[in-house]
Amino acid sequence: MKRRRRQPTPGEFVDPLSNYEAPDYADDFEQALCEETVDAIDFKPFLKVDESASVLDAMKVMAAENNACVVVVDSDDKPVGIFSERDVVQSVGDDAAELAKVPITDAMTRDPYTVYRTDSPAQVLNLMGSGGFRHVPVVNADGKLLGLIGTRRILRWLSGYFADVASA
Amino acid sequence: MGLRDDILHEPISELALKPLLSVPVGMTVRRVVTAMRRRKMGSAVVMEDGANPVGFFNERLLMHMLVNETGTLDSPVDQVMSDELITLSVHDPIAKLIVTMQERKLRWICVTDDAGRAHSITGCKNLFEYLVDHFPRHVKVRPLRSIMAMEQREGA
Repeated sequence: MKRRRRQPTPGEFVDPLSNYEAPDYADDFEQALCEETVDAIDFKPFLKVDESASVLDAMKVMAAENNACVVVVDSDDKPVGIFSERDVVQSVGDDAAELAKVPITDAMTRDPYTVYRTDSPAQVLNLMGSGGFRHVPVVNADGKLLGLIGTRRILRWLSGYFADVASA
Repeated sequence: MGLRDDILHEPISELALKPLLSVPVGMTVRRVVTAMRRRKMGSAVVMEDGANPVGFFNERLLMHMLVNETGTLDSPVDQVMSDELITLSVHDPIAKLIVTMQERKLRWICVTDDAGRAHSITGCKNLFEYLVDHFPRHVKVRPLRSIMAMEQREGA
């Protein structure tokens, strides 16, 4: 049954936050998931190439910087695709020399999902966990590329909450 | 108990574990890449005598091999593999997986069973799925998109 809200009498002040319940976080990690923003996770530096690059060009940039991913941008600096190490495996055919002739636009993943720098880490994790993405570009309100969040950067942010745990 | 406590105490076996792709010493890189592509996996464990792991090969090693020409697609995988194979027990806590992957700069880790045999892998993808599945209520009830913060002051 739908509950009816009591109508205030004319002139009576009604606090719009009277029904607000402040979140009761179990720990600082849960609070960070909700209340921090993408700014808390490093999203720079990042690599980008333009649409005219070849697959081999992108691989050289990635290998030189030891990065797993490069963002492909258009002339307005808006992300149009992502090329990652996984795409290298998919692109390699019988002859590796052919990679210099394959345009990056043929091998990249088109129209990647993006996040804003004001999004929360939980939203980024939701996108990566549910969508199976390893990298998510960060864009501004105009859709221009600001940075890139990858698994390694998420891990660095996560591990800050488990600093007292010994590694293998 | 919060999410942090879950991560500190729940074992790696709570994550989705994927059977590892094992390839024998001497197999060519071309065949390993074909197997990785077919199984949709980013890495393969190189085994000696069918049971003894001696190293691993992954997408990054393939990319560096092709760019730096340290090998060809017809090279034996054991010539271009990495012999630094990190393993964790299926009973280790998930927090140990996070810290180990961060410190060793890994995306995947080989998981061993009770007898110490490498039998599966798990990594960032499975970890993120776990986190999303275990998000507390406060996370789940948040709006999907935030309100964009203005980057410049409004004029006038």
